[in-house]
Amino acid sequence: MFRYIVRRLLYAVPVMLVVSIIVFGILHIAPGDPATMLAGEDARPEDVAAIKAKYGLDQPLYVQYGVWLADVLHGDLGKSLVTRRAVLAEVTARMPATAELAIASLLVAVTVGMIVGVISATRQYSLMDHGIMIVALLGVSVPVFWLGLMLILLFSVELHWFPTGGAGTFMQLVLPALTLGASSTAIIARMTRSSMLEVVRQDYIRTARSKGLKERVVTIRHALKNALIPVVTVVGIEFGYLLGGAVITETVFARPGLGRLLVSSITSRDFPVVQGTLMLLAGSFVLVNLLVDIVYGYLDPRIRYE
Amino acid sequence: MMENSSSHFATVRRQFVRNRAAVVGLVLIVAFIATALFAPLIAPYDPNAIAPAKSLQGPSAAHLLGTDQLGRDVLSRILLGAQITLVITLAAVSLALLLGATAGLVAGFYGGAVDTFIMRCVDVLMSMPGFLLAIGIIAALGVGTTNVILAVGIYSIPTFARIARASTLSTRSEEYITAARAIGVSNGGIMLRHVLPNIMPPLMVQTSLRMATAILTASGLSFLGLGPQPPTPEWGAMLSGGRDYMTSAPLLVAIPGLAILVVTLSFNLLGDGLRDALDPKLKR
Repeated sequence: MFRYIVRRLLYAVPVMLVVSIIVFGILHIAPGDPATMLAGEDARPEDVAAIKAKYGLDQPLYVQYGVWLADVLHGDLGKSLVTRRAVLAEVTARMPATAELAIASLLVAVTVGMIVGVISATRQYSLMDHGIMIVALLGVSVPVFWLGLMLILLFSVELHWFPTGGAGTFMQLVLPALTLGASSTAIIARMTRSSMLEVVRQDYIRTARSKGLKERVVTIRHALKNALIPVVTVVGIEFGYLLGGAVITETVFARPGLGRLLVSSITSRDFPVVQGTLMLLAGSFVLVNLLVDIVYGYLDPRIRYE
Repeated sequence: MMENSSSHFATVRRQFVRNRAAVVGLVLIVAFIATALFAPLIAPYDPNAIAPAKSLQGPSAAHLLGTDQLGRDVLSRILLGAQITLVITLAAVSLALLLGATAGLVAGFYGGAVDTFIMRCVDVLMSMPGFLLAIGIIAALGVGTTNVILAVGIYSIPTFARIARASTLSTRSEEYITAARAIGVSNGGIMLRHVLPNIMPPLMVQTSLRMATAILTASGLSFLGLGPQPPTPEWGAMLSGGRDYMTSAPLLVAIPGLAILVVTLSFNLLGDGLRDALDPKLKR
């Protein structure tokens, strides 16, 4: 197991490097000269030249990338062009709101999705099964921003049960987490159902039943444990979706998180902040998939010896 | 041979028609495409004609879905929005299908170093969560309709590449491929005439499912203000514009969202139905 974890950790390094190249590339693919952008549209040519020299923008691209990467590894993500504050400070201040939202949505998706998926599979073709699958289909088809606004209309404006936005309290987390988690809940429910249906046809389930085990024990200990393996993979993929969806959800619920920071910095062309935010979000995606791989190796020993 | 393939088609069609949900999906998609094509003809008003005196009106005989904050007719904007949605998603998914399927086909057919190189490039695209990659592309290229098409297209490439490669791998060792090679058909000819038709079914399923994702992604980017700019009647942008009036005129938000939901749902139904019809083993 230890060797497996080390191997996975080493695999994450090139992935992170690739992400860093993409993120670094953004500033350089962007139309317009970065130095002019940093200096401002109406800067004098000598100011632009000074900025070029100061930020090393007159160096070859690979040198610039090297310097940038070294800075990033030292925790220096540059300064915001708008607020002039360190990007690292900006992003770390926004991180808790996003982390809270992503984790809460994932919890909703995993618990609700798995329970509902198992119920659906154990009552295949029943009215309940059909109902659950219709709701799940709606769940993967609903635009997250619309769902959020409809929940605000119903639960905040009409019923006054929850606040319309902000971050920090549990009540402020409920609606955003439900909104963002809806689609992943649906996907996990569908995945759990089909995986369970696959597993219950296996010989070892027949064996478990024929030796007189209770149906509940067969379902949970024998079927579900094996059915979970593909579900775990989906959880990793869904986390990536949740990070992307957080950008929209935070905008809908006015949550001061990384997603809103990302959108506002794109609009104001604040490239260091765009890069810093993307690095952090993509980095957490790599990290979560690393964890998923480790859980996967734990659940299915065959994977470890691949 | 001829008879065989036509009977296979008949089986698939029978399977598909039996699936009521999939047929409903198909009918709705046809309606959506017809709306998009004829929108300028059937829209009762100019979708961008501003009439401040008539702003935020509820549904009436003159304006079936009411008017927005600038007095524009919501129905006309929804109809024209169908056209914009269709253009963006169709362009993006076609781009992804063309590039992704070609890459996957070539990778799977040649194998070896070509395969490794192409699939590593695909891995690069997958190293970032899809929506964030799309946002990154917009950050680099700037906001606007064309860049949304590129962003959504590029982020959909890996799905098509992986499916095309997997299907090609299972087709490559079939006897008819060996036979074609034996009678001297070129590699390009084999790929185009013998492999491509066989990997089309899974690609068709994915195209439908991907259209659904593309609609959600593109309207999401527009909602964030990163897509088509005002006054373009894009559904996501309309929804975003109506947010400030949500409590007094909830329809401004509800209707564009419902339009997105219905079209996305239709493509999901069609995709699921096609998959079940093409591969009855998967159906439960």
